[in-house]
Amino acid sequence: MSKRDGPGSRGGGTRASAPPPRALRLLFFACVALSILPALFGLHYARGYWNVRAGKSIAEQRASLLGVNWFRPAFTSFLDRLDRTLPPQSHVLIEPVRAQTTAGRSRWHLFLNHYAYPHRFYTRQSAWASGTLVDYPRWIEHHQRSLGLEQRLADEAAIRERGIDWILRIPIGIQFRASQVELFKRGASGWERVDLAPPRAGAEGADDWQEPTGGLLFDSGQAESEPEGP
Amino acid sequence: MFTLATLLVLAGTFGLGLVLVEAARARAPTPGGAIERTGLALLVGLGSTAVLATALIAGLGPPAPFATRAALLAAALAGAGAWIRGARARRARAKSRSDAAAEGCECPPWTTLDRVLALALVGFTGFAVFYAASMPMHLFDPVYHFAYKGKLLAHEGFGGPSWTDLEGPIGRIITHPDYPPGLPALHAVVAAAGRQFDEDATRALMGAFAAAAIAVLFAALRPRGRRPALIGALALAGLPLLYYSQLPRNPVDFDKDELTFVSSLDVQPGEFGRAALALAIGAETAQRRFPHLGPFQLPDGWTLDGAGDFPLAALLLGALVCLTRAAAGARRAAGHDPEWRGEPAGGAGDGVLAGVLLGAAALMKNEGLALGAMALIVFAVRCVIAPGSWVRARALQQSGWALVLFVLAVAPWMVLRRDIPSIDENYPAAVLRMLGIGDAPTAGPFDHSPGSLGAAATRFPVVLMGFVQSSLNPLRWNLVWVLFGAVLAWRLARPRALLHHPLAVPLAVVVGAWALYALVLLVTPWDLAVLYTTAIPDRLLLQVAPVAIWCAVGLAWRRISPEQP
Repeated sequence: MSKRDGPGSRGGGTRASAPPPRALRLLFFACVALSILPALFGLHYARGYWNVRAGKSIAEQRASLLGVNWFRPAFTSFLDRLDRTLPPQSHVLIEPVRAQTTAGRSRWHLFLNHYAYPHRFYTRQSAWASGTLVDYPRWIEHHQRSLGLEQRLADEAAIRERGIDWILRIPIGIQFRASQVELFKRGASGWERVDLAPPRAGAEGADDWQEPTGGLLFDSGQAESEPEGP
Repeated sequence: MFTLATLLVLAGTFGLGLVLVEAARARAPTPGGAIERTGLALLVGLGSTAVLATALIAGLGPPAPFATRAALLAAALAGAGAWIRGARARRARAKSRSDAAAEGCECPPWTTLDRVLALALVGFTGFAVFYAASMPMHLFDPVYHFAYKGKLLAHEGFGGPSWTDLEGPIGRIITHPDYPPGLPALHAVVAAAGRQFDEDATRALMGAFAAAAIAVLFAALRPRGRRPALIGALALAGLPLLYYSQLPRNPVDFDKDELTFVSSLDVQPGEFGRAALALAIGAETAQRRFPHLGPFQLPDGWTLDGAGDFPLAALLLGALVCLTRAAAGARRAAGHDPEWRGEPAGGAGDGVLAGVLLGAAALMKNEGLALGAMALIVFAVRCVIAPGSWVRARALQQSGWALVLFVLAVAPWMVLRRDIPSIDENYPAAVLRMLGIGDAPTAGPFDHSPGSLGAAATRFPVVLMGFVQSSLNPLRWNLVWVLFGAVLAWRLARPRALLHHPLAVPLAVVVGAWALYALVLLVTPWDLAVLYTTAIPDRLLLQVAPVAIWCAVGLAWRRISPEQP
């Protein structure tokens, strides 16, 4: 502690206060000294930002976050195709199919609900679909096992009442398989299968999931700039 | 990202905050320094914008772009006018007496250590702003709990089927529909200012909450000396949980079932070193150079991504600082009280500001309502037991102002909320069920909420372990909670002095918050072992962490009143 703090201060304080015992003072300084780790994180983050994301559009920046599955090209390309297929502000019923998992990252109905807005998405047992991970398995189970033809017919009145003219069947898995998504439109003779609009030029390869090939969420870009070893 | 809309909202909210703070402090015995007024104005501005936007959207529907821009510009101009008027008034007062002396701030020369601490504080504050503004919003809660509702408010307002059509065989999708709408309202304001919805533009406001909280904490501790203020503010600015919470690997095996969780405790001594190495040289570089020590993965953060926990924490800190000022004003006016002499003193205006801030905190997350009510009750009790009938009357009057503003701020949401179904985490109902008063717990393998006190008791060790595991983890908190516990234990040796300490109310709120969180975790329908993997209870404890730092430093560095030798 500096002598310039003066008598009575015993370091660390001004004459406005009496400092705590030495042990507590050491604990305070240890607490502050541990901030070195967030500081290193800050340096690493800033370096990653300048190397990878600075100056890029928000879409490109989102795509650089490889750990976020709703920013992967398979999903963002699908959102674009869906938006070009549906009339504005369509009312769409989502049905989960072929569930492989009940992991939180497989809740594509939530991701669609946000990123495909202002299309309005509906589902059966929406309280379970909207609930926590505690409720999510119930929602999947309802569609996989409990939902018989009788229930589907009973739901038809509620579907018509809400002006729902589209059904989207999404396979449930952590990876988004755009090629396995099925879209149906209400036609004169019932629900008819509809093809999605084709991918935009340059996005053809984004239809299905591709595993990240390098880097995690906060990749600094350093690994990409260095040559691979033999 | 900082967009023109972000900057316009920041200018407008800051201007609104300046108008309110300058008006509230115009007659205060000590108006506060520039850092305090700036931080407080940002907090009050962001908070009152959330409150006003919620009320206006509830009454008038989605915000109109032109009206929103005009209102923000007018608020920015009004704020500039208020700042100029306030500065003139303060200059006039300074001629008759020294403000610094009135605040009890003495200014010894800067030491090298002071300069290092100040540099680190500025660096961390700048990084918090940069981090919030430069990363796309990407975590589940900020996007799907908060930004989506912002989209609804920007396009549909409240009350439509998007909020209420959840209980039939077919319905809309919305997570946590009864989460309060403070942050979504800010999303809607930013969307109206920019004429398009942009969740990343709103994310940048999280940096303003961080900078404001750091400034208010520094100012609240400044009367105890420059160095305690720097240490306290740096403890908040350098808090790991502000920047990351999903650590590479948990030191406890969370794959185990909830009831075998405690026995699964398996501390990994190398964890700290692995995380430090990943932070120092980067995860991929560490993996390449030390593959036998891995896996290395850099942590990711929740708290500045746009969830409600940190805004709640910042607003609660601001509110308690204002409440303590109001109480100090009453004590100071009454005369001798050694513990309170020299404390920055406010008046009824600080009671009003506290009410606005508590109301805004209640609109950020559900816990804010309970914490706000708790703060007001504790403050009122403190007023009642204060010595001297005149002090009691004056302090109760100030808490009355806070209560009125708090109720006015949350009332529109309370009315709207009656029509929104509570579909998942209904904690009041779960508490009643635990006490055997309400319905039996939902049948099924997924609902873990206890149906009796006995069942809750079997959960208690798991809850306790969650708190211990979180609060002792230096990779999340540095030593903040260790310090809080150590200082509390030290000061508990003189309980009577602690009871009459100016920081007794904030301290009681922190302790009460821990009890509240323990109760919430006891009755949650979640599997606790799963819940702990989502940065709980860390995110809950964050809500009172700035107040805890204020209490720890404020109790450790005791004020020396002029009468003391």
